[in-house]
Amino acid sequence: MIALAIAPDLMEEALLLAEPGAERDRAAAFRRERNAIYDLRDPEARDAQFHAFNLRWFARFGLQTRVEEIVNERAGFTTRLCGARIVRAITRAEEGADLVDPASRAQKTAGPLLVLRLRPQSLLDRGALQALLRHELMHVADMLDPAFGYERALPASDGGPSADNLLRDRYRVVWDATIDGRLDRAGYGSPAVRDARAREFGAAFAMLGEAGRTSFDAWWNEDRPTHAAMAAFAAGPVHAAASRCPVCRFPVASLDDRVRAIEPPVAAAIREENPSWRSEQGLCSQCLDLYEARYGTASDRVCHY
Amino acid sequence: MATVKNWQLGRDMEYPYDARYPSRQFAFVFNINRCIACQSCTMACKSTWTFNKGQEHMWWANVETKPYGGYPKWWDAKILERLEDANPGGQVWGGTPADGRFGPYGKFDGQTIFEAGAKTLTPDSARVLGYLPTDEEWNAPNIYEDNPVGKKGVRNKLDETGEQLPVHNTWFFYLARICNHCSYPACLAACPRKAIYKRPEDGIVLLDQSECRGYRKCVEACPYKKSMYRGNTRTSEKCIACYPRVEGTDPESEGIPMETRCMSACIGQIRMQGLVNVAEDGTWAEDRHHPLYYLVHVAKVALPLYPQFGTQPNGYYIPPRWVSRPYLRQMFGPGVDKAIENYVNPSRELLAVLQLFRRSNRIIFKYDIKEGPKIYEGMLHGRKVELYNDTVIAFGKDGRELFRTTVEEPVHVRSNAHANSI
Repeated sequence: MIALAIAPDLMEEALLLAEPGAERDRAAAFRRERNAIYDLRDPEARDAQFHAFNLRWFARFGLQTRVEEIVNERAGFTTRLCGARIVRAITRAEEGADLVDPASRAQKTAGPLLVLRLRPQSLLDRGALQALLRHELMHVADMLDPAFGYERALPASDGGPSADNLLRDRYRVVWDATIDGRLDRAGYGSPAVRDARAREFGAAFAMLGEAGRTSFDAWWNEDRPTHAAMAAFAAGPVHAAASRCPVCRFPVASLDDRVRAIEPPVAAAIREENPSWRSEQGLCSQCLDLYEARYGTASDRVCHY
Repeated sequence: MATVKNWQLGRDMEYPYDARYPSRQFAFVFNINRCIACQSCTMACKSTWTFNKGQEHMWWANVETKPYGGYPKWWDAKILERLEDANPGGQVWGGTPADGRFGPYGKFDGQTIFEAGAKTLTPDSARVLGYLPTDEEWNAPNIYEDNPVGKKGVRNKLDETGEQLPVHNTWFFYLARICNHCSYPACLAACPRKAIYKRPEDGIVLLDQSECRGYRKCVEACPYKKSMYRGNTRTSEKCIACYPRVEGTDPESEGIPMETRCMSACIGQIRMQGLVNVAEDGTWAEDRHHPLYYLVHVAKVALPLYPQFGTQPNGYYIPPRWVSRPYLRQMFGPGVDKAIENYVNPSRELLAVLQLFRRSNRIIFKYDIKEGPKIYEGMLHGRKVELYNDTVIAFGKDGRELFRTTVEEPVHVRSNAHANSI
């Protein structure tokens, strides 16, 4: 069983949010005890008292147990960690889990440190917390699994930072699909999660068209994914010919379908500035918007600002 | 609940405490038509009062881009939604605007945050309808800066008639905000410790740090979200209206009442702050030549922010003339059309009074106008316009002249002698 170090500010905020939902007597006791600490004049003594109070009440409100139960479902890998910390996240997007190297050399031999980032309100909703942590801890389990072969850096692309961002995002989408697929088969899933992941996968791999659905099913049902396989799949479409706009040469997720109905003056303007371009090659949405704004029939109406 | 008179709503309303009125009330007028969101006010306040550890997220004064911006995010939309949920379809104004100081915008037929709270909340928290913003909502004080409204339902395209007059289809505006030092403060009403009080001498609402125990009920209750919790002291804090300046006890004031830091720093000259006399019934006492009284009760160009919340806020705004009227009516009440009409076609007196904004950092208690010659005659918005170069004279608390200025601004021509001289 791993010991969890919970950031004091996260603990305190969670307690203040939990108080209104507590039973009347318990909330009154919480307030009585907390209010008395304000009478301490020495700031350091007062802080220490608040910290002790928070630790006590975090346990009394059942929040400590709630987190520990979920983390310790993963007893298999917690022995490979030097510790675990939970820190405060500000936004929903910041919430997640990561492994970081411990600061001291002595600790490095004991394995990495698990860092969970949670919003205070997430600690209050048991169901949502379970779903979030189970998903995030599955990431961690993969990262610690030698068979998974996790590497921190993805293969560098030759398309610059925007291509690297695309690759990272696609890698994340594939990994999330495999995790939620495995959780689903373990009895922790829901049709809504599968639908959401399928939509996300479809958007990230729009260039696969109908084949995207089959690919999603394959990743969803993959029980033993590896870092290398996911990275190769994510990188594949990036390196395909259609993933770079033939006009601006920037990497893109997909070319714009509207090119089929492009107005002749717009097409002529593109060809004039890019003699080798043919409409069958397509172009990205940004280029299409730019040329339509400059040379399309609507440009007369909107460009007078 | 006690019954108190709310002159902005034109009716009595419920409030947790009996009415107690100060002899004078801290109040201010912001002319939104002039605000350029330079954030000088924001930074003046920040660098004076909220620069310490634990106050990083605090902006007692802020300027947000409306309609999308807000600090905290969506503060007004959220409380409006809660009021609408509590009283579906009932949040409307009726009645006829009164000529006097009571009910100048008609009568509000809906429920205030106090009345809705009493009807919808459980007894323990029944004092005020509100909500506690999340970390994320506090975290982006200038979110959606300069984001305009486009055509409804059309994405990524400007409205082709967006620039039309008199009301734009593509619009945004800057809303500068501080604590309104309300006559019926929601923060005060909600505090279980009675740590918040309203000063009898100037109506400034203060929070006693030694009494606060961090319940955060004030943060939850203030509909303007101008009470904020500080994690490291575990107490709430709020705008103190730079009270040493207002009192004249700040060393810089040399004993003469001075406007707050945010007012003084306003380079757009949108702000005027003062102290108005309060009558026994809580309305503003007749004070014809007080600039704030004139702008609010005589010219009727300055309107309270969300008067329907029921706190009787003491911040008044000259509404932006280019903005969608339904939106403005929701924000400032039914007085909007008249306020804009009066502002766009200013009377001779209004034009003179508008010159008082930010010519001095001293609080103006009275003004006088010395008539000057006619300097322009022409047509504007299909109406005949005559401009007079009147002189407006401002007087301080002791009746002594603070400054005088003219309608026609003085023109300075740079001398040829030195490249950068005036």
